[in-house]
Amino acid sequence: MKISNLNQKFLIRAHTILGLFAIFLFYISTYFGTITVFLPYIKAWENPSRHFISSEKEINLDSILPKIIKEKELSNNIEIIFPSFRDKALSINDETSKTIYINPQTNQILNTNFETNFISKFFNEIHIGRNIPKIGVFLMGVASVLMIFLSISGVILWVVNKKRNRKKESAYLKWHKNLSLALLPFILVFSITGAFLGFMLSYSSPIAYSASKGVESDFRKLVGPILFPRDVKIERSQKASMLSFERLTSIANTKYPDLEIKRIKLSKWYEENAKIKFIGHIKDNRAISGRINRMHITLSGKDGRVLNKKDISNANLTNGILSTFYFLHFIPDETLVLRIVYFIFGIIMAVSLSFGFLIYSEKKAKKNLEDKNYYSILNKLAMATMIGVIPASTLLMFLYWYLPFDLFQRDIWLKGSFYALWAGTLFYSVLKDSVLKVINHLLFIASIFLVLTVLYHGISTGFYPWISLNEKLYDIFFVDFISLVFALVFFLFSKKSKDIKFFFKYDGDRYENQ
Amino acid sequence: MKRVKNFLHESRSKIGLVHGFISCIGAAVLSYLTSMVLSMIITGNYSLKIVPSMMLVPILMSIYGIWILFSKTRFIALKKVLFTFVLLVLILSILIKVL
Repeated sequence: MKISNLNQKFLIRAHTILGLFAIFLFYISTYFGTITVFLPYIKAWENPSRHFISSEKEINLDSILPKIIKEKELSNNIEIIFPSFRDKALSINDETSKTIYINPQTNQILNTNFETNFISKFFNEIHIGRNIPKIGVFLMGVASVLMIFLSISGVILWVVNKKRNRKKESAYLKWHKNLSLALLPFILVFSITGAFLGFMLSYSSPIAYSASKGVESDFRKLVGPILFPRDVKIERSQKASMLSFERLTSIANTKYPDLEIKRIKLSKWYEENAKIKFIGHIKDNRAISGRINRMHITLSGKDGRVLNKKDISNANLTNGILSTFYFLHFIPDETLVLRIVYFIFGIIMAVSLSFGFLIYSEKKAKKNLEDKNYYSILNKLAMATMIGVIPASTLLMFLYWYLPFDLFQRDIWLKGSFYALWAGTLFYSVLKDSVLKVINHLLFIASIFLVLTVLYHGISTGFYPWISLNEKLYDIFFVDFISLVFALVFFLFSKKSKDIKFFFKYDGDRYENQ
Repeated sequence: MKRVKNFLHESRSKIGLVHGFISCIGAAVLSYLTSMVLSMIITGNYSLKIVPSMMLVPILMSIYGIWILFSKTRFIALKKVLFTFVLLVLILSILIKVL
C-alpha cells in the first residue's frame, strides 16, 4: 500500500492529537476494566458472608424452598439463582421482597447487612465512566470510537512504513507498535464493543427513526419486545399440589440434556396453572447462549408437561449476534483461565497505551532540548493519571477493610479518600522534579496499602491468607495472593528501578550528581 | 470572496482546525446517514434492522474520518463531505418513497 507523503503526515498528526485526547480516558477504562476481570472473585472476597467453601453436592431444593416461601410469604414470580462461581450463595427473591441469600451447605440464611459489593461496583462505575455525571459514559464511548480510529490509522501507518523505515527508531515507538499490533484483535474487540455499549446505546435515535420510517425514535421500544419477550401473564386459579423440585429438575434434564441450569423461575406456584421455567446456557456453546440469549424450558408445575422450550434452532438471530458480541466483552460464564488471559492482555494494553503517550512527550522534549526551564504540565497529568491511580485504588481497598462497617455514610468516606489521594498524586508529581522518584514513591505507597489490605482483611474477617488456604477457600485466597504478588512487584520495582539502565534518563538525581 | 477561495484551496502540511472539524463532524454525519440507509435496506424484524447498523456506526465513522482526512486542501475535504451527504440523502429519500 502506498499513500502520499502529505497524507501520511496528516495521519500521524491525527493519530497523535486524537490519541492524546483518548488515552487518558481509555487508560482509566483499561486499568479498571482489567481489575474487574476478576469481578466474581472480588465480590466473594469483599463480602464476609461469602467466606465459605462452595459446595459440590446437589442442592436439595425440596428441603429449602417450601419452607422459605411459607416463612417469607413470597408471592408471584419467585426467582431462584443457583450457586455458581459468580456467587457461592443460593439466592431467592420475588417481585416485592428483598433478596434472600442462603448458604447451600448449611441451609442457613446469610446475614448480608452492610454488604453492598462496594469495591466491585465502584471500580465498574469508573470503568464505564459513570462516576462523571451526565457526560462520563458519553466520553468513554467517544474514547472507544477514537480507539477504533487509532487502531485503523495505526495499522495503515505500520503498513506504509514497514519497508521504508530502516533507521533506528526509539524504544517507545518500537514497543508501542509491537505490543499494539500483537494485541490488535483484543483492542479492536474492546473498542468496538465499548463504542457500542457506551456511545451507540444512547445515541441511536436516527437509526431507529429511519428503520421505523419516522414512527418511533427510541430503539429500545422497537427492539425490546423482540429481544426480551415478556412472559405471558397467567390467570389465577385454584390451589393445587405441585410435583417435587427433584422430579421437575430430572424431567427438565431429560427433555433438554444440553441445558446447564443457572436459575429457576416459578410463577403462580401452588396453583393449577403453575409454571416452572429452567433458564441457563448450553453446555458446549457458552458464547451464543450468553447473558442476552439464555435458553430455557418451561414445565407445568402440576404434572411436568413441557409447555415451552427455547433452543438455538428457535432463538432469535439478533439475540445470538448480540450474545456473542457481549460475550467477548463480559465473558460471563467463563471461569479462571480465560479471565487470567484477559488480565494479562489488559496489563499489556495499558503498558502499550502509556508508551504511546511517552512517544509524544519524548518528541516534544527533544524539540525543547535547549530550553533549560522546559516544563510540561501534560506529562505530570499523565503521570498522575497513569501511576497515581494505582495507590488511589489500593487505598480504597485498604480503607474498605479498615473503616468500621457501620460507619455513617461509609461510601462517601471511601470514595472521597480515593479521589483525594488521586488528586494528591497530581500535586506530588507537579511538586517533585525527578520523575523516577515520584514513580518509586507512589508504587511504594501502593505496595504498603496492598499489604495492609490483606492484613486488615484478615483482622476484620479472621481469614488471613494462610487460614483461607488451609480451609480451601481458594477464591478468597486467590484475591489476597494476587494483592500480595502485586505488592511485591511494586516494592521490588521501587527499590531496583534506580539501577535499570532504561530509566536512567528519568532519574533526576543521576543528572545532578554528574 | 477571493480570500475565502484562497483559504479553501490553500494546501498546508499540517492539519488546521477547520480541516480537523470538517473530518470529525463529516465522519459522524456520514456514518449515521450510511447506517440509516442500511437500516432501511435490510429486511427482517426491527432488531435485525437496527442492531447491526448500530454496530457499524463507530467503524464507519473512523473509516470516513480517515477518508476525509486524506485531502490536500480544505476544499477537497468539504467537497467529499457535501457530495456524499447529498448522495446519501437522495438515497434515503428515494427509499422512503419506494419502500
